[in-house]
Amino acid sequence: MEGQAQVILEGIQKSFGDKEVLKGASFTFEKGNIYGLLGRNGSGKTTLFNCLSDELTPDAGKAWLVQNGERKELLPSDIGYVFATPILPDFLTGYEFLKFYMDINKDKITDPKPIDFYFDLVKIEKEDRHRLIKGYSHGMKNKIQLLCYMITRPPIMLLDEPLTSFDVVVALEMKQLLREIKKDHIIIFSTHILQLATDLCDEIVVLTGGQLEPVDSSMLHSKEFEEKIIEILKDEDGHEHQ
Amino acid sequence: MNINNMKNTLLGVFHISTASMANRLIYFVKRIPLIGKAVPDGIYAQMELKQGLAVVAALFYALYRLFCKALYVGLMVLLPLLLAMEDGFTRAQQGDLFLHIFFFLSCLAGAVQAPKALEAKPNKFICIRLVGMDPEEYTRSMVLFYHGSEFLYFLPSLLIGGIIAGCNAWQLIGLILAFPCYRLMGEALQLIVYRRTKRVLSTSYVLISILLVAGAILAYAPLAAGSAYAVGRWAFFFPAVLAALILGALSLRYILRYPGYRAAAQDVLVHDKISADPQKTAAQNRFRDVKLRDSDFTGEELIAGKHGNQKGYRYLNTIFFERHRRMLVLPLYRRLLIVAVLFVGCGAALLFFPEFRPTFSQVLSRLLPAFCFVMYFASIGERICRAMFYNCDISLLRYSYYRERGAILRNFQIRLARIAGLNLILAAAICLAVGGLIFLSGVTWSPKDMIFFMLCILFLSLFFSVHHLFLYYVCQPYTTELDMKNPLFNIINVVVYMVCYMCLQIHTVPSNFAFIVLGATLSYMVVALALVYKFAPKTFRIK
Repeated sequence: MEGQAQVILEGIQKSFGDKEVLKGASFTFEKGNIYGLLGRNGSGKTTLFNCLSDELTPDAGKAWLVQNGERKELLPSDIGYVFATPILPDFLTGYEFLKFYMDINKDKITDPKPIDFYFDLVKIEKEDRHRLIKGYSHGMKNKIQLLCYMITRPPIMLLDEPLTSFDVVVALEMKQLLREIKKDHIIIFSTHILQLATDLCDEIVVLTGGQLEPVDSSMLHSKEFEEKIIEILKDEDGHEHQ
Repeated sequence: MNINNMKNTLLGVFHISTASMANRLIYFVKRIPLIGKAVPDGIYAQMELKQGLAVVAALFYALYRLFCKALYVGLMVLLPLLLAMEDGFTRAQQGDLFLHIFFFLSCLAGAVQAPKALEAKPNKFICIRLVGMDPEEYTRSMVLFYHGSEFLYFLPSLLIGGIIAGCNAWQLIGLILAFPCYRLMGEALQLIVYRRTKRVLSTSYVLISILLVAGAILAYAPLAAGSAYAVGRWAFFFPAVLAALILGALSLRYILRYPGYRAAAQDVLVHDKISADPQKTAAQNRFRDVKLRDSDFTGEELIAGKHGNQKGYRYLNTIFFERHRRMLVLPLYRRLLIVAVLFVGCGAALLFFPEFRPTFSQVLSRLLPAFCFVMYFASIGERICRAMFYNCDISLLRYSYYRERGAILRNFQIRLARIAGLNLILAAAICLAVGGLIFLSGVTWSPKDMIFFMLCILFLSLFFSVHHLFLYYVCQPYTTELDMKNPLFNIINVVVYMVCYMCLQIHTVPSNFAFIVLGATLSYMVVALALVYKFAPKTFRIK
């Protein structure tokens, strides 16, 4: 993806029964940044991602992709969505899945490389490549998911709490990977763990009361930052009790 | 045992189970179209309303249990007696037989089924593990409550049933006194076995099946033989009743004083085996037979990459069908073997007993409608669709590229060709066998009849290939929780089954029926394929 790009969310709304989860969430995300989407448990982070990726239909609102000044509706195919619980076909080996994935998406791959090259990229060992995904660990499955999008390079990547369940080594590897690829993508990374967000992200967006709110990124590494975030998030209780 | 503790335990259990019943009722009502929308989410918090609902639900449950017992006594004990009326039993003999049947079914075979003290039910799990009730209090209270309530639920049907059958007053009194004692003895016996061997007898399916079958045989043996020799009545005769009362009291004492309920609860309530959500367990079971096993492929197969020259969806399906051989090719082999055995058997009969030849040919020509039913069972389809969902689509459908119109249709075509290919092999084998048998029978069929017969079989095989895949793609009934959520799926399936079943009743010459079959299958397939092309890109989603 060359040149400038933006994703613009306009008033995304979604309710389940009587419960309004997203109340007109709006924000503009820029290419080259890793955004940390912070929110408390149940604040609607996954719902927002599902609305963007067509897993759920939002009740109202639009999402746009602006590339080189050209504005079009954001399509599911523009999005690489790494699920919190990785979901891959168990009956294939990692190698076979990647081959299948590359065949299907060959028109989206600008510079195809041999499959083993990609496995090297995410440090999946030779003997693991030809084992069934059924026997893969959580971390390996997540690496495969991320790898898919490193191959097809969709403009926007959504990562739903991806590092939460990794061991320290894999988490570090993944962080490095994300930093390496961030210049080509808009990466939005949801988490409820504050340290992860401050550690990896360039910008922090807080999802509270069904709305997206930016946090001044110059504060990111300051002492008051944590208190400020807590203050915003605690506010949510106030919203709900109104 | 402290009566107050017991009361508190029972009240606690009652609260938990009725609250969950009320919640389920609300959840159910909310899912009814139109009405459901009017019920606000807040209703779950209305405790008073829910307590009312819980009482209503509990009352209905009690009525339901009463009704079940009446149904049981009516169908299993009284009805066989009524059917045997013409054997000319006297009224007293009928009363004896009533006691005999009930004893063997309910006191002997029934008593050793699932012991209450060792049961592994979600409610018990919730009360002991999650809520933290005392396992000893809980088990003692529940065993007493269960046997007491069982007795009360049985009481009206036993009294009425006994009077209808012709038991005298002494027999009825004996029945009522001894029945709960036999049940308590069964419970205590299981506890004794468990204490010695750490095994729960009622979990051994072999033992339970033997016991049930033996109980049923003994119960109905006199009726079947037309004899009034009812051994079982002695079980409710004065000396036996006295013995039962003594043993029953000892059993009760044993149950109440049993020291190992805490350990037993820990042993029985294993988290993996119990799901607090019975629906989830049922859903898991739905896909048990399509789970991949390690024996379905070898390590070399995984590395070999022998399909490397294939691409995209063809590649995916080649591997899919290869790793599901056990569910596809083995059943096919088995069916081909059956066809071969039938062919050899009938062929030999035709060769060695020439007098059968004309009859055989005639029977065969009238048998065509039955082939609708045969092909329904012989065709591969339903199970492989479940395997496709569980092992492949449930994950890949989460990706947008897999949900694109072109992708869905391409995948559908390849899968249809594969399934139809397998089914046509079987159909061709059946055609060959039928043709061979007609040749051996020496009776000449007109070429027209012959061609129609075989076309029918081939078309039926195609029809069932399309049918299952069409339903899967257009109705896609499964959810990520492995539930089934599409009434239309079940309705169409039942209708097709009924039609095939009804075909068994049609007896006509091949050409007449063949026209109907060809027309029906062809139009169904055309409509089905059109519907797939129109709707599948929208309906083939995860619910």
